[in-house]
Amino acid sequence: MWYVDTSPPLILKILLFTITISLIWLGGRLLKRRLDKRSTRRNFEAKNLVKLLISTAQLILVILATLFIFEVESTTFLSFSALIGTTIGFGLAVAVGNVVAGFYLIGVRPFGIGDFIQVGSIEGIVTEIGLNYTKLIGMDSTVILVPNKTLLDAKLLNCTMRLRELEGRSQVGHDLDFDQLASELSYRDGKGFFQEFKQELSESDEFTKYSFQIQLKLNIVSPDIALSSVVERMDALCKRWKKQLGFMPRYYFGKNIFRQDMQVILVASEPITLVHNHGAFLADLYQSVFAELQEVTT
Amino acid sequence: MILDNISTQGIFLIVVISLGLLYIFNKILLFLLTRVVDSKQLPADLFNAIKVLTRFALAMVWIYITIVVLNLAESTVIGLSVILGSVLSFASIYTIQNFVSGLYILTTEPFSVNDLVRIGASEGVVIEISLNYTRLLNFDGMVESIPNKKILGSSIINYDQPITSTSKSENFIDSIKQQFDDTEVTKYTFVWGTPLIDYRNIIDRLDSICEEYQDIFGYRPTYLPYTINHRFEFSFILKADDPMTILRHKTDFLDKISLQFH
Repeated sequence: MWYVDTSPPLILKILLFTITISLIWLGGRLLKRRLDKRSTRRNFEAKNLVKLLISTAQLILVILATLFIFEVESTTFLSFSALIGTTIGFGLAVAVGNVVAGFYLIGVRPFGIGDFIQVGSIEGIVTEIGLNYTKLIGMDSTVILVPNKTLLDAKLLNCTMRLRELEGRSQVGHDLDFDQLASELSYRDGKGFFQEFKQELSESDEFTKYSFQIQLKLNIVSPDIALSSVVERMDALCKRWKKQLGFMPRYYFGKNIFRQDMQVILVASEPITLVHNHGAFLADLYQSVFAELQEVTT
Repeated sequence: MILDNISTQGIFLIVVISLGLLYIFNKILLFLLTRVVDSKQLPADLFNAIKVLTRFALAMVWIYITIVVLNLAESTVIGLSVILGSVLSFASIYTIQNFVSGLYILTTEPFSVNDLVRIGASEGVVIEISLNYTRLLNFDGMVESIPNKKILGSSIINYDQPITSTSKSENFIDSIKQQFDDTEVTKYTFVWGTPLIDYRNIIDRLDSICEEYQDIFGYRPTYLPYTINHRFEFSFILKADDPMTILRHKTDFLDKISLQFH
């Protein structure tokens, strides 16, 4: 050090270092405590920021103290800075990865704004593809933020489709219910190039299929509800809801282990219609399929 | 050097003996420290920090002794220190990632302090976003610390959403004020299943509880059918101006509902 001719022994340096670190740590702790006690106002954001600044200052002070007490030479510092740089670079990679994934999603377009998607256990309507997060509106109308990187990694199900795409596939036989959907959408293929071009740009042939599983406890009343009467009731229900949604709801039965599994597929031209009607549809389904139950308790 | 003429066995002996001495020294130091802690109520984390630091310092001293005794060439020492340095910096990647992630959360603001959020499987009100951890006060009244790096990879539901005022202000200044006005409403949802009974009956029972809790939350709780399995599951929506209201009363609300059916 510049003010003494000979450098103090290592033990003294370590002692000095320990004391300095303890002081910095204690000072920061006291400041944070004071902040919590003194300001009773509910300015959470500002408080958090100040705390963060204190922590950062502590970190910088510790680094400076180390450099100063152990008389680290500039060359040593330089060689270390390369390592530190690499480390920070690796640290940043996570954050930058999200941004890159965001651009990728916008470019490749596995889904667009307004589409209904299912990613793992999350489902919802895409309202924004940001640089870091993609915003979804869930079935209970909560806002869900999914990291773009997760979307890139995960198995993705886009429930919003265009009939034009289906039509192309139906010609080679890769479709399930194109004819039915086409009749429900009253879809006509445009004649002439100009007409086709206009149709390509408009999204009038879009529709969303929302598929979910429910379980029917058919033995809840005695005698059990017969599956044939479930079919009758479901058919009547689907007819009622065709008026509401514009499309006929579909259903099929699955496994029967204790309860009868049933897959229900709701179709609508706007995904938001599905979000709005899903609850009411379930309530109606419950009341019609378990008709006996309603009579028993009323 | 004085140690120049010592045989290999001698060097080995010195290294081992110094290790033993340092170990005993460490023990004595710890013993003294413990007595200080007992008598003067030294904070536990300061004690812990000192413990870690002394161990680290002693390890350094031992390495220094070994280098001197083995009479290693300067280039060898530099080579070894480079390896050690790389190892250290690679090992600290996780720490630095946490730090960077913390800054990232603060700038992109997927949530801020005093928001009710769901991060992965954890739910609670954010009480602090620090350099390493984000702290949540959960429904049990305990504070969960989630590493910032984990948050970056998980889906987030922020139950606090800004109220977009429907009335557009004519005045320019007022409209700017509205932009900075962070009035938020907390809309928390959770799923609970009722037994399979008459639908009207279910609705009546749920409505009576929702009515009761309107005054507590400030908004009337609502519910929507969610799915049907061995129970009829509803997704309940609790709305309040302050997230803490929901944190305080959600469990009571659910208790009341459960009591209605069982």
